[in-house]
Amino acid sequence: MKSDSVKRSIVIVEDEVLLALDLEMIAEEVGYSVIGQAAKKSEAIATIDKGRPDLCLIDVHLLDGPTGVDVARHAVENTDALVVFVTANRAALPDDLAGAYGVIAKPYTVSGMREALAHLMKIINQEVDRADQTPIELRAAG
Amino acid sequence: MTDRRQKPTEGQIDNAKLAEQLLYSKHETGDPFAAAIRGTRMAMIVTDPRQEDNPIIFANDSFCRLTGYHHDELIGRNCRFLQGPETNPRDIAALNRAVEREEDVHVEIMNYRKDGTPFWNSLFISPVRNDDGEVVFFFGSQLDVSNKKQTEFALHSVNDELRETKTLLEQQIDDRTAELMRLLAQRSRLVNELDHRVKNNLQLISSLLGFELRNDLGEEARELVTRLHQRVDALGLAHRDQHNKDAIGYFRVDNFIRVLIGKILVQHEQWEREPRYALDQISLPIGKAAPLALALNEFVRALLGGVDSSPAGDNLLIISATTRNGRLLITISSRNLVRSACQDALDAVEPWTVKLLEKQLNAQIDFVDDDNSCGVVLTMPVNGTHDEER
Repeated sequence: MKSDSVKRSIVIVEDEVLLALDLEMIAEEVGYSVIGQAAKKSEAIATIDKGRPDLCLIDVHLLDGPTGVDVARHAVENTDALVVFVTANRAALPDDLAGAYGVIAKPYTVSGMREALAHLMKIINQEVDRADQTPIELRAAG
Repeated sequence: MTDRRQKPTEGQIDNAKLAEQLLYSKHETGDPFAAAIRGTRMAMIVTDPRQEDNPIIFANDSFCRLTGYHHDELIGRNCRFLQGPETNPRDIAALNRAVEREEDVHVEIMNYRKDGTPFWNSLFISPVRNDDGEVVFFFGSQLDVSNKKQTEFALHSVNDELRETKTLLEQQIDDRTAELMRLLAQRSRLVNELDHRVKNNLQLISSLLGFELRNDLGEEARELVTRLHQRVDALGLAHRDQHNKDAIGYFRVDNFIRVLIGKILVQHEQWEREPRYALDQISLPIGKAAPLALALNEFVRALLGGVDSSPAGDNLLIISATTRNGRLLITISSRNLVRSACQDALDAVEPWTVKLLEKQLNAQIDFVDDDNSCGVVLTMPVNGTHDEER
């Protein structure tokens, strides 16, 4: 996928272990290196602060409640990470998306998620304009 | 205004004498006007503003009956003795002001009889002028309007009661509304929560199948799991746009078709990635989302798969959705499709798909075959019941 010697890194914030695992596999298939997973707010913030990922995928509902929004805001304000929500609960998101770049709606498909992650990597690598051809997963959700 | 204590002119003296003669006289005079005033049922008085403190100089019998005073007790006194503790100072002020300005006035004022009983007096006072324009008398007429006043007060109190009742009712309505709003919000939260759970579970099922596909499966098993995976994803896609706050209970067919076809085309690279769409904005009851999603998924995959081996020609897919006479028509066609390929595709579709279409959606599948393109059209009632079909 990506020929850069340095792999782009990702943190997955998701309380459903199986979904996190699935996301991790998809992300690796696309060419990301997975720094870590987190299932609750404090864990997520620590992982993001320590790992400084290029991309954060964040579910809204975590083990300690709807704290994904706080995690996203923290990542947006304190790191250079691109932040994207992955949620089945679009309604729980604030209008400004807490500064996040976009939303991938659950249930996503593997192909859709792959496409979205590949697109996000291009954005991180500054290979595309942000306005360019957003994949349908990101577009439909946004 | 002239000083009342100024010496009267000749003319004034003449007037006064005339009035005295007309009004004081206990004897019948030949003047029918004076007789009328004395005899009328309307209580009347005349006062003389040129005398100190504007005293009563005449009162008719009706006035005496109304107030309970004898003539002798009235003449020479200012009318204010009719006032009492419940008399409204504002009414008194209005009277005084009118007399001061030599104007007509009407007030409904609380007055008291000699025996102390109060009554509502509808009082008119008018200045009477001589030829020179000077006010020589004030003429007053009185009418007991206690009954009318009582009715008014009763109405007021009924009004007050109504107002209170209304306020009470409004309060109750407000309380009830607040309670309903609270329940509604609770219900919305619950629906939202359920919706969220359902989506998450669909995601989980999809992920579980995804795990299997990452294993080293035999070809047959891989095909099987892939098919299941695709079906679950089609269900998921149909579900994803539901519970949209703009149209609860409905899902957007056009949006769904666009997303589903997009997904399917990813796996059929010999077709143009972007079909030519002609999709009207169509909503269907949410109950139709799942069967329509499953059926469309089967048919489209069968159609596209049927020509996998013949990638020549025009690989553009043409997809339209429209409503006509209460029926929804979804057409999928291409110049690259031929009738036999479509027939093969339909034959290859699982029997349950056809059953799903017929039984649950009341739908039918037909061929479309014109000069340029070939394909299938799915027709179904928009509202689904036989009633609406007619």
